[in-house]
Amino acid sequence: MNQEAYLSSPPEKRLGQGYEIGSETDNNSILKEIGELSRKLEKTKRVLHNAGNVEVGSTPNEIVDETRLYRLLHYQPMVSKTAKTPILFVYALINRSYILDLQRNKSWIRSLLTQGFDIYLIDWKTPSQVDKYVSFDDYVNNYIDDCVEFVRRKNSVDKITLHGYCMGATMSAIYCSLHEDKVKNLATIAPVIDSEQDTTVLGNFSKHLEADRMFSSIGNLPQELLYALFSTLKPFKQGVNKYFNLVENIDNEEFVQNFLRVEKWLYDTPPIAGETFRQWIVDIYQKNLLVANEMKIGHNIIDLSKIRIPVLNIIAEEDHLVSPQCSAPLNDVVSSRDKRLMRFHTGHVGLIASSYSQNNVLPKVGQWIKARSQ
Amino acid sequence: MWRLLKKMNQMVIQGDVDSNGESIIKDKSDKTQRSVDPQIVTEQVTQFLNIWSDISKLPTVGPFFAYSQSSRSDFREIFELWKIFLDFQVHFNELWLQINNTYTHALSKASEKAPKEYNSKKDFEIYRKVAIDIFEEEFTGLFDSKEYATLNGLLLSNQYDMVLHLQKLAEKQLKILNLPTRSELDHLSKDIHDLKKNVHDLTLKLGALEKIESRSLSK
Repeated sequence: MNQEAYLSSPPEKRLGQGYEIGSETDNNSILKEIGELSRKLEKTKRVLHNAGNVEVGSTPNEIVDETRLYRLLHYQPMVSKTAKTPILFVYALINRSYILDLQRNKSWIRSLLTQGFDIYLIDWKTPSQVDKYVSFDDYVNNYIDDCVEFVRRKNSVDKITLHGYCMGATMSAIYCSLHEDKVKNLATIAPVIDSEQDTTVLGNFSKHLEADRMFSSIGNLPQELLYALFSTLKPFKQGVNKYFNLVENIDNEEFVQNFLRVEKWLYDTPPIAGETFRQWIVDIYQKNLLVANEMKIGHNIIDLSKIRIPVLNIIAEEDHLVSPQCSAPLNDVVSSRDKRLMRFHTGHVGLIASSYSQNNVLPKVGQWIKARSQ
Repeated sequence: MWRLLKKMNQMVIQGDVDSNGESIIKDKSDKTQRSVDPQIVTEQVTQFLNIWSDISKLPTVGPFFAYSQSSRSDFREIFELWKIFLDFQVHFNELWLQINNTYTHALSKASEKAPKEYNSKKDFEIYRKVAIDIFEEEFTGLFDSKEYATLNGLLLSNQYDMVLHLQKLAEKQLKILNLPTRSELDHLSKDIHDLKKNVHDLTLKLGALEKIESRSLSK
């Protein structure tokens, strides 16, 4: 039914008109329900207004290296080390890295620590307009490489395990294709590899975005544009329904705290350096150069088939940010003999920060990495 | 010049006939209906602006050209800005129409599937679930469509273009006040970025050389 047909339809066909509240309804119970609802709404309002202090990233760590664009965090071991090779986690440039350590019982980092790994994390800082020209080359060949060097030096090892999430996973794969001599294992979570296979709303928008023009006029990708893009992802099931659920569960302290932590992370989005974003959109999403081994970074052409080290690729079947079909081809393009694709029935965030992830994903991931970290 | 005057004249005549962008439609009862077609308005305004751009380009040598150079480029920027703004409006209206149609369609579907009677809280819950599922499906379909993504891309490009023209206009004023402009700062950022890269590469090379040197000394 189009707009005209809808407006010309009889009123009883339209929402909220022509429907009657059943005659059997108990007026007292309705009043009670309304009273309860207003109490919950009032409490929700109070909770949301005072939510700024919600605590995230509780696992103890220290900043071992810091520049203008990143902090290298080293997490304090929780058990005696059982894996010789340290893990360097490369987080994405979208939102903040504390999603990996959101809360004690849903922390990716904490789980790996309790499995006896030594963990480092690259926590990207906010780029300013001065960083407009910072490119993929800088991120991969300067910042990640500097962190890899630091970890190798600090732990007196030749090679490390590189572990990346989302955009960080793509950067990790690119890094391995250029500096494989410094990496023992590559473990990626939801990497963007073959964008032609991507069926997400984000992929659709990316393919029609004039990133060159954006770069020359406003420089960095503003966070407002990212908010607008994110609000088109599951706009009602997640965007609207989650607030109904919050009101319903406002008396459940654990539910409220979980909600607030994720909500804080969802809207904690730094801008992305203009040239990096331009390459991400044009080279990876629009021209699909990465999977074709034609993407150029600095003076190097990225050839993923140069990767021969063990590769673990972890993907989520219900990922609505990076399609599983877009991530899976990593296993086809690398030349590694030891490669594994793990699929899980969850979403992009559920894969790293959920009870499901703690029970089903992390034990398998830890086991795979540990077997190759001695 | 003659060609230009003729062109302006034509435009004025066209404006009279078409009542400046209002298309005149006569229905069966011979009543005159007027509806403004934004496309026609845009075309005519663009034509008008193009003519003024031509006029401003007329003198190409001599003192008049030299003294009017600055103001003419300002006018050109303003004309361009205006044209882009009109484009933006057209794209925005189209995008809004797509959103509105999707909303109406979802609303009518939801009302068809809604419970006929609301006796309890459960009935309201059922309606909420039905409505959210339908709205989700309809809007995800919209955001997934090529048409919507293309329009969204055009709308963003219009905004970037407007920013570019505004920047050009603002930069002129900054130059008059002897203040640094955005493009000058951009050049500096690029230079600093390149220098930092060179320093990074040189530091790495120096480190490697030091290692080789210390190894050869220890031998």
